[in-house]
Amino acid sequence: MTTSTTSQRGGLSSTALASIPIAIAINVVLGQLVQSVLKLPIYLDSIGTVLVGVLLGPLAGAITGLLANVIWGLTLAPSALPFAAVAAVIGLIAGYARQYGAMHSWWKMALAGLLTGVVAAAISAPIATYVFGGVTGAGADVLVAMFQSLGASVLGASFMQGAVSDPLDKTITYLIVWAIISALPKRLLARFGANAQ
Amino acid sequence: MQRTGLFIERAGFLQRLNPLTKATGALLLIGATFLLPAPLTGAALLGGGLLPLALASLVARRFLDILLKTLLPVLISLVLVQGLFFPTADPTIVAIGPLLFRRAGLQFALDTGSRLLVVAGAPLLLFQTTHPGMLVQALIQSGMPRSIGYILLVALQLIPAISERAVGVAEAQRARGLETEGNVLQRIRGVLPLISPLIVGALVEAEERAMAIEARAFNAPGPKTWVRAIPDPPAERMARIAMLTALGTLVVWRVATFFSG
Amino acid sequence: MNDVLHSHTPIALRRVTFTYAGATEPALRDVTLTVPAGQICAVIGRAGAGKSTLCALCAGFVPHFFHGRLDGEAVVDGLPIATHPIAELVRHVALVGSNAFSQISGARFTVYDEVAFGLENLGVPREEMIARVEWALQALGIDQLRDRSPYALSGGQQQRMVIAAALAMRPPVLALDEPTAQLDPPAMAELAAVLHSLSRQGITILVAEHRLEWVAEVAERVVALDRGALLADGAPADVLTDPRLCERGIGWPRPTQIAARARAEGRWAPDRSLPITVTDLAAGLRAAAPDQASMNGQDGASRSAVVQPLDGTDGALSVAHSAEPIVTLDEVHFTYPAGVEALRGVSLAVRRGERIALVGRNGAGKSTLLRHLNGLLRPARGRALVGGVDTRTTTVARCARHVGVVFQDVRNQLFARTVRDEIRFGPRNLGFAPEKIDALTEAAIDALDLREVVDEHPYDLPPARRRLVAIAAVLAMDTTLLALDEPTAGLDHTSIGLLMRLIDDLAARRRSVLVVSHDIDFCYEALDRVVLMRDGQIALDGRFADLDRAQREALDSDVGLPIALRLRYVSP
Repeated sequence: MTTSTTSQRGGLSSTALASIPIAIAINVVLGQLVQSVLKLPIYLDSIGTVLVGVLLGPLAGAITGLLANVIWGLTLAPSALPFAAVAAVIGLIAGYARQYGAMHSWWKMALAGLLTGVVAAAISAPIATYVFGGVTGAGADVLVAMFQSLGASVLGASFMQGAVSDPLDKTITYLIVWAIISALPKRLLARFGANAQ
Repeated sequence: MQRTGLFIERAGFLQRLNPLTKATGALLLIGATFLLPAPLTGAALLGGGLLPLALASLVARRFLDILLKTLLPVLISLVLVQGLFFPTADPTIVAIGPLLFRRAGLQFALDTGSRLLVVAGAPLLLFQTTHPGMLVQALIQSGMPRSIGYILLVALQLIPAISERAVGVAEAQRARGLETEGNVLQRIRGVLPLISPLIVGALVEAEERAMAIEARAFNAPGPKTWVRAIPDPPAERMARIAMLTALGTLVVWRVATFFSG
Repeated sequence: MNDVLHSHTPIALRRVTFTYAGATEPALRDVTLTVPAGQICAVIGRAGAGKSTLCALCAGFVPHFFHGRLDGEAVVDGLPIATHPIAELVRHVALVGSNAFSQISGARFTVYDEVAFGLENLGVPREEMIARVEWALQALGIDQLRDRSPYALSGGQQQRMVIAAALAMRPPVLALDEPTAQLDPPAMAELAAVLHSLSRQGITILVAEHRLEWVAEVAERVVALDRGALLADGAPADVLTDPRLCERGIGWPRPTQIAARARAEGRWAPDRSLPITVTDLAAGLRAAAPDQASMNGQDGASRSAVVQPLDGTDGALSVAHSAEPIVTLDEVHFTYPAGVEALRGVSLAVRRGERIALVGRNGAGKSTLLRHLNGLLRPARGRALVGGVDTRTTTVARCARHVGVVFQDVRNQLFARTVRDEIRFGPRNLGFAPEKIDALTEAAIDALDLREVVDEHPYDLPPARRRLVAIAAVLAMDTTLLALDEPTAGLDHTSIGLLMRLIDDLAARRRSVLVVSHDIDFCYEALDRVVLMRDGQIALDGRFADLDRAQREALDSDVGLPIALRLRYVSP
């Protein structure tokens, strides 16, 4: 049968090398688009990361997330760089989600998204706390203020703020990725080795 | 957004330096910001380090412009959120106008904000004065995997292309009657017809690009060569060693003081 | 340094059969082909006949990148394809596809560096790298572009850069898969010159193509494939006039077709062989009737710069009353945000039943005008009326009821899981009743001959078929005007014939068609009114049949003349 890629070089195949930059570009373009147009508390700047994670595995997903973050920092806002680890973990989870059968149904994907969102919030919180003092510069900071006035620590408030917005954003992201992969032609699915439907 | 990211082509001081030197310098500055205990270290490093360098490199205005654009919302939020709601046992209040700031909170905000200036500013200056192609080549020549470098450069150059493609998709679908200027429900229904061709098209193109990668012998075995040479004068090499040593010393010192209480 | 050494036969295929993984039918059957050094060998055939597979095979992408079962012997430059990985084969054979954009590595920021990229990967010492890059840039005539970004080039320039990048690795064999698909006529001519030059330097070239006229100018040898098997193999003059080409749907070059018709009408010497180039065609026609220099000359035809009345040549189609135009552009001016003034006072009206060709050089304003036809762009000055409504007061979605546009890059449009779902999208958006949606969808499927692939994923189809799907998807919207942007790019003879019949059918049903195209011969054969754009204005607007001398010259200088008109009017 068709194996997904050609010459492997210590981890990343040509297919991965070709797909990851595109996924990163999609992250940036869609992320910017959504920020400026929809004005909802979702970012949709991880679609590419999750897509690569699901199609090409945890390593490729993690690399996509990491480098997408670097690119975002290289082109738009260097202040995004500290969150590189979060982005990498998102890609990592996406890869494992596929291995654990998340692609079998839409609600499993939604669940994976939820989980990813919570984990992302958990990892973001310490970074946000120690580097950014708990705030993001966006409207969600109102939540931080609220949680702190209710007695939470900076770290706690930051986590809780993330826990409100991240799971929603990631769940929607996973659902979109699921819809797209379901609509891919056989030829492409074969190249990505995604036969686990 | 241009294909070279934040890079600004100028004949200034930093532009002439080897990318690794600059990267090491940025690392040192960021490390110092975190490791030095003095308050407002960040602001000092910005004013005494980054700004003069930016001026010498003829990018000061763009540097400040972007730095403030990205950080101002955060700084304002810091002062307001942490200044007013910082969880602290310290009851001291600083009144500014009608607002009652907690002194500990303000202190925290200023410290964090000051540090942020360098954490965001150092990489910014690095990217503004270094051509991404040169930076990646220098990193690869120092041991970074070629794949990573390749991905970074291609992603950079593809962003404008994907942007244009997104416009093309929107045009094509609107021409088929897709309503994009309507109510929220209509816009939600438009998400898939707008995103899907973009991504599927990109994946199909990825297959073609994978072929191109193979065709350019990316996977050929053996050592690689470079058509461009990046100058690396001994003075800079020594400077790098000095900076790394300084950073190492700082770490050791900080760890030592931490344990000695 | 310039001549390539040959110690082996460049291409030696013996009884090669290849079946893609997951396919039921072989893509190549029992193909035996030997190409000697320095020859330009063209491969022609219908879409899906195996041309791309053959090219990919010669470079090792079949079977190492596109997996499947390979039987027979395939040896390129002395290396058996089956046992050598692509990374090794790249020094011996280079594959260049039709979409130059996706073959740009993306890892380099100037043309110079891009051409050097492959050499860096091969570990070539710097001095030699520089020498080879210089040679490649010169050979392809792009030396002056060396400092430009690869992404800031025209399609033709990108194509040449990609070939240069491949050649810098000094492979003695070059395989080109539909290199002219994205090129306009001037770029096609430049490419032909480049290939001739390379061939003289000893490089063996295999080129797969649909455009038979171009093949006639370029190739020294032509191989025809039909469903994976060799149909014909020989000199261009023999293969391109072989009657079997027409039988199997590959078609003949236009000069051949015209001469065959002339022969049937007694205007071509029966013992004279059919031509494959315009020059030979002209010579043959003159030989048969030397005193008819301008046979059907209409030099006195009136110049027309205003809208023509409805087409009345096919008497049955002439309309008694003048209908309200579908689209009216009234002194439209438009400037892009970047400052480019793309339209400078354009007036145009499209009425029912018209078949219009919109032609002009790159940058003349064709794309901008096209986007004013459905409200995607709105005039800065002047008015654009669609269905009687000013486009500034309505939305694109509402204009889409009257004007359907199929853009050039079909990938921007396809997103559904099956061909049928893709076609249904348009009518659904327009809010038709379910029965009407079904009826329109099925009618469009049949009109574009897609019945057998109706449940397939559009991306699983060959590119030519995908374009037909895109056209069907807009056709199903049942608009009064159907606008097509470069619809013939990448289409084979059979599909172009299908398109022509569709256009005729639409005109007969009093729908209108507007086609933006570089292919002036297609325009002449399928459409009756030509609108030439130049520098943001309409330079000429009239019927092909009624063009006067000045108009023909204007057309010729910008986009060329259709062969038929060239024969009639251009003096020997």
